[in-house]
Amino acid sequence: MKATAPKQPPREAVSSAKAQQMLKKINWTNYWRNVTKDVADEVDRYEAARAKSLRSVAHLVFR
Amino acid sequence: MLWPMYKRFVVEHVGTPQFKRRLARAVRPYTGNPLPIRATLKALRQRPYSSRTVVFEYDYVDKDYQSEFSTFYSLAFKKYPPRCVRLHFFNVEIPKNTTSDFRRYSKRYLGFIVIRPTDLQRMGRTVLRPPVIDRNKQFIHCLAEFPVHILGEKLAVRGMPFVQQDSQVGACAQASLWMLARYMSRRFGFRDFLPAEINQLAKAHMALGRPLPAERGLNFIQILDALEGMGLPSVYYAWNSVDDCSRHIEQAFPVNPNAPEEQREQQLKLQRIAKLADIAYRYIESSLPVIFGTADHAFVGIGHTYEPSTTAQVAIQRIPAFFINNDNTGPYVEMRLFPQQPELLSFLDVRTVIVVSPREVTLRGEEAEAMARRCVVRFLNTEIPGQSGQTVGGLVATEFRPDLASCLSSLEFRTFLRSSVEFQADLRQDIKKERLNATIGDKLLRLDYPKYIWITEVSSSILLNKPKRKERRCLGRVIIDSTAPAKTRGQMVIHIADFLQLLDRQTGKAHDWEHHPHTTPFAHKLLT
Repeated sequence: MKATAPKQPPREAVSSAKAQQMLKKINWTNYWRNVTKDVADEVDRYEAARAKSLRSVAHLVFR
Repeated sequence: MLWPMYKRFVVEHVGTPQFKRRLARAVRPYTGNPLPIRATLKALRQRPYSSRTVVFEYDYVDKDYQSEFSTFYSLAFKKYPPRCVRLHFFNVEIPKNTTSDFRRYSKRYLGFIVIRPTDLQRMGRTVLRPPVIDRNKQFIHCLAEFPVHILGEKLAVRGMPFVQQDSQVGACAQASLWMLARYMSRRFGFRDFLPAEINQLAKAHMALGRPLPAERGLNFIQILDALEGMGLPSVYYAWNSVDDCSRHIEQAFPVNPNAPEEQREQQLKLQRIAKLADIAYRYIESSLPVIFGTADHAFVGIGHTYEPSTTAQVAIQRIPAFFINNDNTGPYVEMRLFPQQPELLSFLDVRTVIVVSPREVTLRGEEAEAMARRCVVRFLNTEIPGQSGQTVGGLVATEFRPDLASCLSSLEFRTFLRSSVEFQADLRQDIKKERLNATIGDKLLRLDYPKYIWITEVSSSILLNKPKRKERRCLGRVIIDSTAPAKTRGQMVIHIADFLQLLDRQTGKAHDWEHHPHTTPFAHKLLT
């Protein structure tokens, strides 16, 4: 009788399982707190740029 | 001989002596700046237009000129005619005795120019097809369809409206406002605004002497007032106020603090210009025209060229030039960002940008991209606990997708606004043509979106440096709710390097990350 090799799970399933394991270890609350803070800082800088902009170009006349 | 009660059309073949005589009679005397009409007529003779026939439509009632006429010209001592001549261009030879059935030539219709019977700068409302020769490198995004009627037969031209200032009812600022507003009315459902109305709205809050003649132009605040009056939400930036924002540009356009002062100033100038161009680019990419202002002139940004062979760190490095509608020079003019010839108008002369968006969009493009960039970069840089400093990005590059390693080391972000209906139609096409994984496509298709969404594509030079536009791809994308307050979690979808997360905007819940092997890269979105 011919011996059959044990069935291996597909490579993609292995990598997905490994990825899921990795994802579970991460503290996502921290992640989102950091992302939100980064964005808020950047938004503040744009806001400040707009406020300064009006003062610096209000006198320009386009004709 | 036709009785005057009949509508008069005359067909002429380009280049013939009769055509030249008739054109001269329609256009002359042309006092003031003749550059736009000369440049446009010259372009129409050349590729890609190759215009062969012009149909002269006499006694044309142009509603924009009617507005100028009733506000100004009808009050003058000189008897200005109330009607115009409209020139229709075709790139086919139409028999000279043709009197009807122009619709037969609709596919060869190139657009029209209205010639106003004024003393100065007679090039009125103009809509022409965009003169795109290389679709892999030229992208004119601000295009809307304008219906045209010849003896009750409907033709259409898809283009960006252009007008030259007449200098009496409007200067360059009013001309730019008119071009932007007319386009927005066709593309985004705003109403049409006429030249006299625009001038009035601009001067409604800040009286600076007589409103007409309007040769004094408008100041920056009056432009904002006009946009406000037309219901077009606007946001503005000035070149010397952007030093603290758009920090992602600084890696590609650095300022060396140890360089000699003159060199440092030059570097800072380039960096500021790149930041301003980066802000404008997102809106132009979204088919939203941008008003650019130099120290004394305003014009409208409507598209850009693209250089795929550049090794870029930021998207703006791939943009050698913007296409502009400049009332001083004509429609669809290329304006380089960083020119070799300093005497030509370039983006280095730009001091201000004013961007507009549909009413429903409250989140700005630059803020949407900040949301996208931050969540992607943080995700890839997140350290995996217990794996001695290994990051998600590192693990992707070494274990899950080594083929993407070189892409992950240098990411480029490209952000644009899209209506959710168009986005869903794009998804269907992408799934059908196997340009996007069907499982991912289906998940994205079924989500509930606001009317407009900001989409940030994440890519890299390796995936974008392709001469053919259809071969350009991206590593992922982030979809942002365009109505989200700027400092909240506005992300709806994050799909990067095979990882997917969906976020519920109603409950604020972030669903668990999923891993979908080999669902990236996928096709980069073509917007024209």
